[in-house]
Amino acid sequence: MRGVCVSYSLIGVMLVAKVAFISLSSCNGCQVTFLNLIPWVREELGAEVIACPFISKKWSGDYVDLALIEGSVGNEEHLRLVRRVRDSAKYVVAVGTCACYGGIQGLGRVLNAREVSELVPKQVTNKPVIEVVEVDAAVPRCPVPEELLKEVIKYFIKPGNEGVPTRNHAFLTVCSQCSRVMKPMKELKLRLDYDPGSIDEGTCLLSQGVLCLGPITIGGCGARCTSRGIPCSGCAGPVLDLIIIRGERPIDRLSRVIATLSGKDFSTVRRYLENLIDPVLTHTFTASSVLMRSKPNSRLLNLLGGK
Amino acid sequence: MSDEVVIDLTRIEGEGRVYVLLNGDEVKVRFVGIDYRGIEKVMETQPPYRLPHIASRICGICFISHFVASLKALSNLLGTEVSELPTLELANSIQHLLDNLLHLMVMSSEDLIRLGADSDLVGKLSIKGMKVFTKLMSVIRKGFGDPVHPFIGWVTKLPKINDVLTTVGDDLREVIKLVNDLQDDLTRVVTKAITNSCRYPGRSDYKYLALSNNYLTTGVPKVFSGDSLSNVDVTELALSRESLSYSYILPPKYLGGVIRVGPLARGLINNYLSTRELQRNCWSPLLYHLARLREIHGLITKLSEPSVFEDVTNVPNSLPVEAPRGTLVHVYRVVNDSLRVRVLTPTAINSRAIESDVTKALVEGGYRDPKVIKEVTEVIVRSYNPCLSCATSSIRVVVNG
Repeated sequence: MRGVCVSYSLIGVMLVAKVAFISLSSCNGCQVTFLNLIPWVREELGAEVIACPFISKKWSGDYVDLALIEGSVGNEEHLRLVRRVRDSAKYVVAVGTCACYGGIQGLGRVLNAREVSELVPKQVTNKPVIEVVEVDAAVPRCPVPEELLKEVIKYFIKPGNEGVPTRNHAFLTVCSQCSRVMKPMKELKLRLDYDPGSIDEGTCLLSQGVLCLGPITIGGCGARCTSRGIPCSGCAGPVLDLIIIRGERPIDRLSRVIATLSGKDFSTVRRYLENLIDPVLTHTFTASSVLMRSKPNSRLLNLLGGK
Repeated sequence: MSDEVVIDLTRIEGEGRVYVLLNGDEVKVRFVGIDYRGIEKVMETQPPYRLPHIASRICGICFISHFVASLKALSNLLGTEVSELPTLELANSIQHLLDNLLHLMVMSSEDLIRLGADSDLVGKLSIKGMKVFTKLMSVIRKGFGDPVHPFIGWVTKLPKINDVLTTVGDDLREVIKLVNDLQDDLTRVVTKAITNSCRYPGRSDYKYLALSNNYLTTGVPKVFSGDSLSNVDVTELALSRESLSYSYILPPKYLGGVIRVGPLARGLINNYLSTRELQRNCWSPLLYHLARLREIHGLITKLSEPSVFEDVTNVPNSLPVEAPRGTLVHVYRVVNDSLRVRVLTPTAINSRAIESDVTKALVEGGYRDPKVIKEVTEVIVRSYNPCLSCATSSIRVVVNG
């Protein structure tokens, strides 16, 4: 467990920690979550927000105690910016799935990455922030939940806190927070589309034959989609042990769960899923993550044309 | 010899940049979206039930509008109808109020001070604006689900508007009170700014596009031109985009002129602004702020009498919706057994008007000082409240040269 030592800037007679929010390629949704926290950051933590492009200025290179970065690295300017931030900030946190795994535009670039000819900065292969610089914490999910972001900011700004709070969720899946009950599947048949009126309120969506990525997706979101009858699309990125176990692929993990639910053997289920599910469906938010691409036999390699 | 001034925009959503190229008396302005996101292409790979949820990730601030536009496009494709339009209209109205307040009170605060508004008053409004923003986000969370990417509807039953109002009624009343308390100050600040807006002239020969019928979620799209209104096929507009060699923004090809969308267009088409009233001021894009002020007033009136939301079901249905920045349409088609997605965003539509207005202000002002050029450009561009996260989500058509 690491200790925290924030160096404070002297403004008048008050010691004030400086926080900067930096935005790269994204929908700005995590910044909107941060906007909601600004009054709390100022009033409760007594910190100064020196940059937040949505409401004030962009970060200009000044020293900061805590840099929160949303979005993925999409062009050479982003690349230079992220490196400068790392050099200038005491702590750097990758906020949201784009910063951690490349996010949704990662897949967009993989599928359609051509250049316009003038005035725009040279585009680079979409990269998550965590693959470009070393970060002190990574908080995936799309967008980052307010409570998680709050805990992380507090941890780095308020000395004396212990343990990165999100670590508690890292090995938990969305299923662990879902109130739906898993039941045996009647047959090995998954639908990619379905009639919402036919969904049983209290039963697991996978058990009802609806493709749901809850078993392979990191928890901490409160399973708000699945609790409303909406299958998980994996926006938070993979659960941590799926990343750590190099040979394990999302489709393998999913196959194992479905094999248990359907009573079929693993290899039958995996073959069925590989025929049914395009890799873009399990990697919609993580297509540009090297963590997912570097797995042996990663299905993403097909998507990338064997690169 | 030519000079180039590069302006990195801040206090807007997404990454935008303006290049001003000066060559003698000639001024060339390029409004550039610098970061390609390609979400249309991602959507084409997804099962239909995911589309509204992916669509809401186009934009962190217009998430409800994209969600609703996607629901409508999907229903149109599948030949079904979107249920609970009053609930969607309520959600979209709350989002419009949130965006208008955030833009006017926080994002544009420096511009309003530049235009002569009392800086202390603007500062106080800015702090109050953040409080109302926080409150409105909690209303969205309580009423519709997640605060940024809500999951109202589609695979689950849409909540009835009365159920939502029961849940968020007290919070909404608190928001209405907060906004009512600051409306006089806000009016004073905006009125002062408009009085001094002659430094930022805009062209007056634009056409204006918005949904008529005074609703944000459905209605007949109309084009206002001078003194006449005509119907327009927004789907065709979405399919007729042109690619630019210098930007990831794809503007539509125009119906015989440059089009503006957003609060100003909504006000002119739905008769809460008139050309005569606008002409009493300098014809400047800063009139968008006046339109926002009028819209805030209208939204508060609407939210004070929620029964008006029920009437949205009597309005003719159409594919586009009004997002805070203007008319937005998602078009989904099946071509050769594959899904084809087209998203036409307000900023893409406004991009030509933005370039024209900045050009006119710089030419008429004869500015050559890069600091002044930067200031004039920023004030004009921000008055449109552009969103580059949205505008660069489209597929780029290949351009040579």
